[in-house]
Amino acid sequence: MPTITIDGRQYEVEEGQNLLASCLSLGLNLPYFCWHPAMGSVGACRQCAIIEYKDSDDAQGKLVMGCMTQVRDGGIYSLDAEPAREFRGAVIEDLMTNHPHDCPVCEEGGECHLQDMTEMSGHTYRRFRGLKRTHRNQYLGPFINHEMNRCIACYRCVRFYRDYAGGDDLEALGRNNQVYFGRQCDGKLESGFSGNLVEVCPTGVFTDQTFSRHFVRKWDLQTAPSVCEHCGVGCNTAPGARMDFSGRDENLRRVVNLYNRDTNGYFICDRGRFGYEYANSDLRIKNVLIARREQVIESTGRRNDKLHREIEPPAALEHLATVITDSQRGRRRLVGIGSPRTSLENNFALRQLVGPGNFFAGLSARDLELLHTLDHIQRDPRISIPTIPEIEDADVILVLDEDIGRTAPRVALALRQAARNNQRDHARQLEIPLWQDACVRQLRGENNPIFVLASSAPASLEDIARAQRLASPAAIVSFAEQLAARISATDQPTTTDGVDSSSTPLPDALEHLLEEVAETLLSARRPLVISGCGSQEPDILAAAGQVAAALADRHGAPCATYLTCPETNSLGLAQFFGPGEGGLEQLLEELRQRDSVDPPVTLLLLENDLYRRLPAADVESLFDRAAEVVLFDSLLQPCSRRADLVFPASATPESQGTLVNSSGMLQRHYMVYEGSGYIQESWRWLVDAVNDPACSDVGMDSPAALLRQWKHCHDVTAAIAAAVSCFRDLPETGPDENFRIEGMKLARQSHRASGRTANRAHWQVAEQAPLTDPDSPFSFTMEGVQYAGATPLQANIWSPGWNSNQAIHKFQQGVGGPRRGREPIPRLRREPTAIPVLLAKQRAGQKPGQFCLVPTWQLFGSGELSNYSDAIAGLADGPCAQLNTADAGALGLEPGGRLQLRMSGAEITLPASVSDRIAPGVIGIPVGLRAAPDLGAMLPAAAEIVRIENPEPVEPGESL
Amino acid sequence: MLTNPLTKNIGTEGIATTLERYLENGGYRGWRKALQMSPDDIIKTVQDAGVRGRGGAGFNTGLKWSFVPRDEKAPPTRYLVCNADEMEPGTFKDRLLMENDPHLLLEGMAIAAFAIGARRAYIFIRGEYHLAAARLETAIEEARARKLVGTEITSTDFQLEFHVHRSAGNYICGEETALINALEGQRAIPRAKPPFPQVSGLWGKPTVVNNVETLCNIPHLIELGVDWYKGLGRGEDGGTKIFGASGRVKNPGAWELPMGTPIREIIEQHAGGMQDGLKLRGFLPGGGSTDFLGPDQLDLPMDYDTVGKAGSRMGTGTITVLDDQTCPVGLVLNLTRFFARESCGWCTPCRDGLPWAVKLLARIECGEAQPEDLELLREQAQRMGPGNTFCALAPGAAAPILSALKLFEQDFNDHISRGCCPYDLERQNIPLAV
Amino acid sequence: MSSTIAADTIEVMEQQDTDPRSAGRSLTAEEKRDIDREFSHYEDRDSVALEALRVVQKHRGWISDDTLYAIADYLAVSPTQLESIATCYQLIFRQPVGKEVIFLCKSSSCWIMGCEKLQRHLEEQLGIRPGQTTPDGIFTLLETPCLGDCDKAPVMMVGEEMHRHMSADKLDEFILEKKKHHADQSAD
Ligand SMILES: Cc1cc2nc3c(=O)[nH]c(=O)nc-3n(C[C@H](O)[C@H](O)[C@H](O)COP(=O)(O)O)c2cc1C
Ligand code: SF4
Ligand code: FES
Repeated sequence: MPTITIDGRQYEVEEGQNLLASCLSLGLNLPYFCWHPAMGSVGACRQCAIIEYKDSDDAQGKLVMGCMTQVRDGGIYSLDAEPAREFRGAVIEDLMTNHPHDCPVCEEGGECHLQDMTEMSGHTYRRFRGLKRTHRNQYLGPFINHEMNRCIACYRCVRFYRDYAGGDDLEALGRNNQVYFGRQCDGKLESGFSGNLVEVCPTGVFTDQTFSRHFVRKWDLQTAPSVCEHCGVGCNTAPGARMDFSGRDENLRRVVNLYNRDTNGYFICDRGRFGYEYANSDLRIKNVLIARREQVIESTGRRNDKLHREIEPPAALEHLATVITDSQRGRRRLVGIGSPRTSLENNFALRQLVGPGNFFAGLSARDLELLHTLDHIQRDPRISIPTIPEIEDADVILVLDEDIGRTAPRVALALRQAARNNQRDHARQLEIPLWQDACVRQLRGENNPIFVLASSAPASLEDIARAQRLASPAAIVSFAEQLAARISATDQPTTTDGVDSSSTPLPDALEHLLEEVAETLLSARRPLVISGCGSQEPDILAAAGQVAAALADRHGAPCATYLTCPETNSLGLAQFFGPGEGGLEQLLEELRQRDSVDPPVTLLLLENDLYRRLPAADVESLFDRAAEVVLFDSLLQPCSRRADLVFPASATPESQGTLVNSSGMLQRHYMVYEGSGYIQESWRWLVDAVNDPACSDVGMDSPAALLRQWKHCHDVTAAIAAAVSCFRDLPETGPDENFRIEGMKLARQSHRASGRTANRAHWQVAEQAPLTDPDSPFSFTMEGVQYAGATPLQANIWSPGWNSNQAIHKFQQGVGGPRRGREPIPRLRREPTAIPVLLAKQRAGQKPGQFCLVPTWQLFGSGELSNYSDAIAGLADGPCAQLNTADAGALGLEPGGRLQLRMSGAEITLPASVSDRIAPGVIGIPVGLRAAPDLGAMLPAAAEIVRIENPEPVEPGESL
Repeated sequence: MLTNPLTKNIGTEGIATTLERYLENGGYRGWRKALQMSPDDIIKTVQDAGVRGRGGAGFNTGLKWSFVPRDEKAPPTRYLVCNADEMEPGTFKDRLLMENDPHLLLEGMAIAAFAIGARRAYIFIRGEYHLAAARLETAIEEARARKLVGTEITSTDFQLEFHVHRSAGNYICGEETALINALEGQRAIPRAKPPFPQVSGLWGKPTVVNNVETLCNIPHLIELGVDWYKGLGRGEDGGTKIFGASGRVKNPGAWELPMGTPIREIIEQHAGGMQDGLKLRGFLPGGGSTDFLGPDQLDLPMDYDTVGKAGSRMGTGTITVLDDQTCPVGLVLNLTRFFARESCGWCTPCRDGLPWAVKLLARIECGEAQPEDLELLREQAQRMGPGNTFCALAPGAAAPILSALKLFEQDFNDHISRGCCPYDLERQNIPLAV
Repeated sequence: MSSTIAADTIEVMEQQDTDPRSAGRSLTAEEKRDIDREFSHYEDRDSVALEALRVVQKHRGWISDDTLYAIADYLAVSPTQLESIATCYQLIFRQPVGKEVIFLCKSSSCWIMGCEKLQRHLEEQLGIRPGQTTPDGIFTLLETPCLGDCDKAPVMMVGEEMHRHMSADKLDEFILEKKKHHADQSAD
């Protein structure tokens, strides 16, 4: 490690690093703008100036930019030298000639890197007398506000948006002092990562439009570490909340990235950032609701729909307790339906109450099979599950029918970085340090090979993929099987001998690719296979597993394999069930088989919209067969119409719990703020019911009695760890509620939180007792440990002089390193199962003339909870059937036409959308839409086109 | 002995040397000779002759070429780029060469390309030079038809394609790395070095960028040798150079003269001295980004190092003469406006500092400034020192400001104390800063 | 948010009704041929961005939004990327210009030789300021950096043609001649 001297003190620093990063790693304050830890240096802003001395005799030294200067062993530098300080102040002074100083009305104020750096540089008095240049702002869509006058032209926005995230609709326009960062014309920013601009911009040019609707200063936001609930990646977030006394209950104000090197680094996607508003939705359930007696008139509702009224929780709990008691006596059957979008704790509590035999996953058998297949592959010791930095490090990538940009967006962003590894190798050869961002990027050369096979064109891979082929799932499965066979059989010359000739012949386009992919993967040093549940086709997963296993065998090392799960806790939920168990179809079948002597059934439905899981008719049928439906949920979702009793459940940021992401990582989210009204965790409702006097008959030997012992979330967590062996590391996800640092709790509020005695003053002047959190060591006040350096749990990233998110470097082990004090994320401890080869079943038998219906995903539109966020809801496309241009032509489908499709047991009619973004012979059906939640439940399937409805021809001369 | 290799073919003004005439005068002899030489020998010759870049920086051209990797591991594709962006205020030498003797440039480029192993050569010409671009294109056609360049060059298997790239009005494109970005169809922003273009330039391939005049020096050097070339100079540097003078001199123009010709000789002899009734106040020795020198420095020889030591730069060698009836503040304001407008917008001191300097200068010029504005202006300019900004544009912009503050201090003070410009405003008609 | 922004928003809604990249905004065969010719000189398609803008401007006089979209489509780059290039260069006109674009040199030598006075004269005669076009659509006045003809200052370039040693008289003559020329043309 080189030793350098800075202002007379010696330090050991990382070899090859630049001086700015080294200084920051050492905890020294050196201001900067254009540098970004994930994006490196470009030397544009000139803010990080320091003095470099030739040797100890050199008194003068030379001004250099810290970010552009590599540390030299024995180097002598000064941050404090007058010329350096003066120059840094001068740069701020220059920047300020056009900055509007509108901090009081600027949403960045209080967490503004420009404010911080101005303070740090010591520029105080304005000497500039003159007009400032002004710009017109642009409309950039529902997420981002644009205020160009605040721009200091650090170029970070375009470097993130274009260079890092591959967007092509935000650029530097114009030149000189007029340089403008925007789009060609007004319009929504198209990238799914646009929200990061809010954090990347060092000042208030790009701000969060959803936040501005219920804005408060950063120091007034209370926060705790959370995990994004909008897909299976499990990005870490720091939601910010402040009690809202306007009557609208918009308590959750925003979500920002929380640095976790292994899951998300510095960036999250727009679904994760802007999906939070569901928690403020008008559809939130805040009280206990009970069905009213009167019938709904069928013209306004559906058969068996119920109307509700509020009741006091004790009455509802008493009822629930009675039902539980009845079930203990055999007079009732309690059936629990779990959920992949809520914590292990909630699911486990329900399972414990109803007993494993009465607990169902709340997923279709197919969804469960997908998850079990995925789980099975991950257990194979030949498979390693990569972290985000490991994905970024891959040199050859195979993507099998997974629209990763929409099902696991953060992973797609990592792939984009992986595509540049050749470029980085080239830079190393030329001895260009990797942090020299512009220099490395200007080295041309081929991207690292990324091969994409998909039934519909995935988002954001096209421009980096070496080859992208659209084909039917069956063809992709055969391709992967043959590929695996080739990889295993490369001792012999690579001919088609040795490849199972019985498998489906490949279309030419795939046949040609086979050789290339096989060879490239074999020559890879760090190959990566990507697939997942997105195709809803277990065979795809199995085939991906085969390829990865074959590669591992050949390389003699596990093969990095990332397989996506659809929801935030899909993989965790699946661990409660053995293969073939727990599907909703099984429950439906059991209920259909019921005898009249069997006790009536009470369905306890946990945070789950079953209409997304099964065809609507089956869901209705399920409800019809239950005597009573009790729903625990945060939102009035379609199932609430059938519920007899509804308990308000907390949203993720309102509760503590553990989620298992697609990588099998166990991650805990903490309560950021307390939900309004009677909102609490679902498991607490169950515990409350068991503790109700009406339940006193429940004996200590009954499994349900275990619930009586649970007072704190950690009790549940510990119970899970004891009960299910793969969860045995669960207690390591975080400390229990008694944890203290030097006797202190951890503060959710910042030391500057204001107005705590005033903010309720319009109805109550007495100071309220602060809330207490029974589950975590966090306080709901500013009292407690503030400093993020004291514990990795502190999500308020703040350090003296560093009010913006840039403060994170103070808490890392070296720039871009892991958070200081943070243990590696515990993972599922699954029994390894050495599977020889997972055999794809190839069952989707498709007759001639039939089309294969496949699911298609939307970043904004397929996520259940995010669909309740206003900003996102407005962006979802409606239901439609996507068809290949050639197929449409052959069918005589005209623009604006509709397709009537028949598959086994169902018929649907959808408007057609024709493009080349879907494979021939395949029809893409969007899944997860709020407007048509159950479309996905029918997929994948073979279907025939029953009818084509072309638009009425318009008579010439006829006016519309 | 040939003493005017750069302009010997240039006859009646405005008529380009045709290939016929060029060949008659011994054209492409250097090229033919070069094809018989090894690239190493060519590079060594150019290096030994001490040919210094005429784009302004004066870097040893042969040395620059020698940085291009040419061993087996080197990338096979390499590029030569001729920098014909000539937008430096007060500079009018490359236009002259290209319009009047395009083949000289092509021949120089052919030799340079051969030496570094480039099979593709670009002439990056500013968009306003329509005539020069057209004549170069014609010359390329002529030379290709004669198999002097192209894919079937007589008696060699070396191939060389030329392309004239017309730029579209952006001074920073003259900076060689911004030029490379511009050629790649990107925004014209300078690149960080290293990697130097010679190692990784245009499309990531080894690239040499040379000025028009530099390249025009090559053919005769190769033909006539190092000793001849060195013998041309009168001072430390060898060869000849196109020197020029503009402003209120009797006979503004450009002349090929030996390196090391004293400035006085250029201004008084060749440019005929000042117009009647005017005295010389100062001059910019080589374009708008060089420091003002005063009348006491007229005896300096025009050599890179000598002018450098005197506190300025020889730059492009075309002198802008300031007379005693023209306001020096106005001239500095004019230059600073140019640089502010042409700043690429990448780095702070230049992008934001220059417009501020313009505002200060405008205020001084109109007599609305306060005494502390002078200090502010000086500070602004000092911020733009070499190394403080990303490229050399800003230091170039600072040069006339800082030198004027020294040389014409009295004028600055007068503007402030009198509250107006003491010069004939009717002629200057300075528009106020808007 | 200020009300101006709200107004912008409304404008956008209207704009978005018609897809800016829809049909009817394409390049002519000749323009495409001219662009195609450039491809062979560069290593990749993107590199031709400026050339394409220049070539098409030659045909159309300036680059309208529609033209920009058409070129972007043809080069398969995003309109924003192309705009970023277009706005980096002063000779790419993103606003309509007159038939005679006057580039008046404003750099040091021409300034010493009186270009400000010349400009004032020109502005008075034509009634326009830099960046403006005369109402008859004939003249556009632009200030330009050094035209590299400093020994013949003051100079201006009109279209592709240089006018040297300019004076007020020569300017008057020039204006008259051009006016007449365009009057004759429109009379034909
Ligand atoms: C702002 C700026 C503008 C420049 N403009 C030109 C130019 O117009 N023509 C030129 O030949 N060199 C120009 N240069 C110098 C070039 O960067 C480069 O040094 C030169 O082309 C190298 O050629 P040479 O070694 O033959 O002189 C400029 C440099 C800077 C910093
Ligand atoms: S000094 Fe900076 S802003 Fe100015 S031209 Fe150079 S890189 Fe651009
Ligand atoms: S951070 Fe170093 S120049 Fe911007």
